Amino acid sequence: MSTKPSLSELTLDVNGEAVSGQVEGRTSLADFLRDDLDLTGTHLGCEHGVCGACTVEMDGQPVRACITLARACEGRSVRTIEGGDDDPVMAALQEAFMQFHGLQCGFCTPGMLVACRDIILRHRTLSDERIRIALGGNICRCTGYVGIVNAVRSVFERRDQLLADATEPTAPPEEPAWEGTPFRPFKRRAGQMTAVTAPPSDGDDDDQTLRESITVRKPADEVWAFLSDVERVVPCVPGARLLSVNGNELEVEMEVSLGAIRARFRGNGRFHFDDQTRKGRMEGEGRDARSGSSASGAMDFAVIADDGDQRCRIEFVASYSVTGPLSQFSRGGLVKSFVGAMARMFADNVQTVLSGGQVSEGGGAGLSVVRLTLNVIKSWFQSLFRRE
Amino acid sequence: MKPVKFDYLPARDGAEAVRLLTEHGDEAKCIAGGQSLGPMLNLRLARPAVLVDLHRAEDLTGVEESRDAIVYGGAVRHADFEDRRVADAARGMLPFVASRIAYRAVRNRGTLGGSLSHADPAADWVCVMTGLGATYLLRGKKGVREVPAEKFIHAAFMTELAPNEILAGVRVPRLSESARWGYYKFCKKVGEFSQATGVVVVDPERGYCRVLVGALDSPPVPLEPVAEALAAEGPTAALAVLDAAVDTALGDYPEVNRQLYKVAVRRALARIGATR
Repeated sequence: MSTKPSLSELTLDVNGEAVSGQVEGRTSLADFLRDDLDLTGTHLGCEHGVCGACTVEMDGQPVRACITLARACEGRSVRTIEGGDDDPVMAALQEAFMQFHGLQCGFCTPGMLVACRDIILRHRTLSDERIRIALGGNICRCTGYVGIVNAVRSVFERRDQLLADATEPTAPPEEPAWEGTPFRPFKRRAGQMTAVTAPPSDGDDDDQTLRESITVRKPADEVWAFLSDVERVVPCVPGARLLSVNGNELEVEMEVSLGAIRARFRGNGRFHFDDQTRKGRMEGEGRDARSGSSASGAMDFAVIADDGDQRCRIEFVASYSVTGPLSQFSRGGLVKSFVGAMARMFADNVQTVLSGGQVSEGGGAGLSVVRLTLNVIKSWFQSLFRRE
Repeated sequence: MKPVKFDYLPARDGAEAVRLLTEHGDEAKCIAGGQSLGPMLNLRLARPAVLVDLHRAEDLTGVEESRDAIVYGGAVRHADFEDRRVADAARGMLPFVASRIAYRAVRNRGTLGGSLSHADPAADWVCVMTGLGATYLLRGKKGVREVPAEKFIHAAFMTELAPNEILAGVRVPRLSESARWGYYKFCKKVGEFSQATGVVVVDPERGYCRVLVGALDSPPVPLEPVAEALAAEGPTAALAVLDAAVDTALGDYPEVNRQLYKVAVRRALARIGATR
């Protein structure tokens, strides 16, 4: 990671005036407005695009200033709450917010006003329900919604006066009515998909144990010999790298990633194998230095002969936990989807190696395309990240 | 919180984006609307050293229409569908779905390609594009490869995309005159992600039928018996085999969740005329 990213010149139009400044790549539009231009009317609440307090207009459309990078606004036209005085709808909304008691503490108000102006511009008809739906992305923690909805309705009733020469808004899309035409059966020639069973869901429980079973087309003895050889088997685990082995202790590095999140856990493990029963156990714990998150896990596995000696089944039970910042990004159930995919890649890698092939360092052919993570702990703000 | 320091590199077009991603390797991420990545950056869950911005890439913001299909650039925004600034290939389905994604301020920035690449199984586009049988155009160093929607997502947040590939476009087959669709998502609050999604697309002229249950912990799964019954006998017959099909497809889900998925698909079927 570079430690000194250069500042870049940014030029844009804010409230009708050309402004420029020096910004970092990571500077948000909200921080640029507040810190560089002293336009502190744009409020920062959650800072991750949920509360709507930072809503401003860019090129006439409301956007979240906290998750819009300043540099993405180069050459754009931004209007904040400070720039609304000359706008008849904004002026009417400000009056109406006072009249209908839509202000309360005032923290959400700048974002509310920008959102409300947009609602009035974009609608030809507007029910109270529609107002509430359209305001769904702006949170008022004083819960003053009744006053706000009343204020919007009162301004909307004067829409034609306030917006005499406005362009006609596009009607909100609705579902077509199919009733007129009867449904005629037909021969299905396209659209077929392979029927699959969705991986089991964690549901709402906090059980972090996973059972997986994979079938390998090799004799059990051969598979066991391979599985109990840590130097050969660890590299088959997607993302894992064996750093050293000492007795039954090992040092492993494991890189996991989930979309944009990436972590490299480094830690120690222990293993125990029983050749008689063809059962084994590996366990370990590690830390990702970058995020400060820790992970620990254990896996019990067994090789069971199947179908004479033509193939065998590997059964494993894994348990795991993640603590620290990474554990925040999760929701119950996803982990099984990841681990299921990882088991398939692991099985593919095992097959490849047993057939005399090679698995590239760091976890196998699939890893450049598919990366994984194992971090799932249910948390109250899981939903905050689940946005488009 | 504020993001970690990163270098911000705007890409002029898809080819430049691929070049920048290749050059900066593992530490680079691409961003388009930033409505999924933005929160992750601010919370420092994502810590890229380089951010390649696609939102002004000219070849990613356009739309190409042909007789049988429309190709939407990966950086086309949700609001472009909602406001019908781009043509609709699916008889009203794309604007309808787009208008119910998150909130207007999010729809003004969020993009089709960004949402699909993020690969949250509950995302509207993930379910709808699979339902419509769309094809994704993945641009990498060696040019563009095509991947059917149903093969794109391996598991939640895991896709076919290589680190230096971008989702350059989405080709959606045009629904014909006789086609119908039904879409229902169950959200606890307006704008939240779906907890259960039902998607139904029937296009008799093309012999096409797909019924999906989505917003699972994994990508959407097909309900083939329902689709077969729907094509052969109609929506009401499809309804009759729905519960059993969901139980088979989601056998390990708790009953309460399965019920939610059944209701979502039932309501999607009701939209196209299923009655009990």
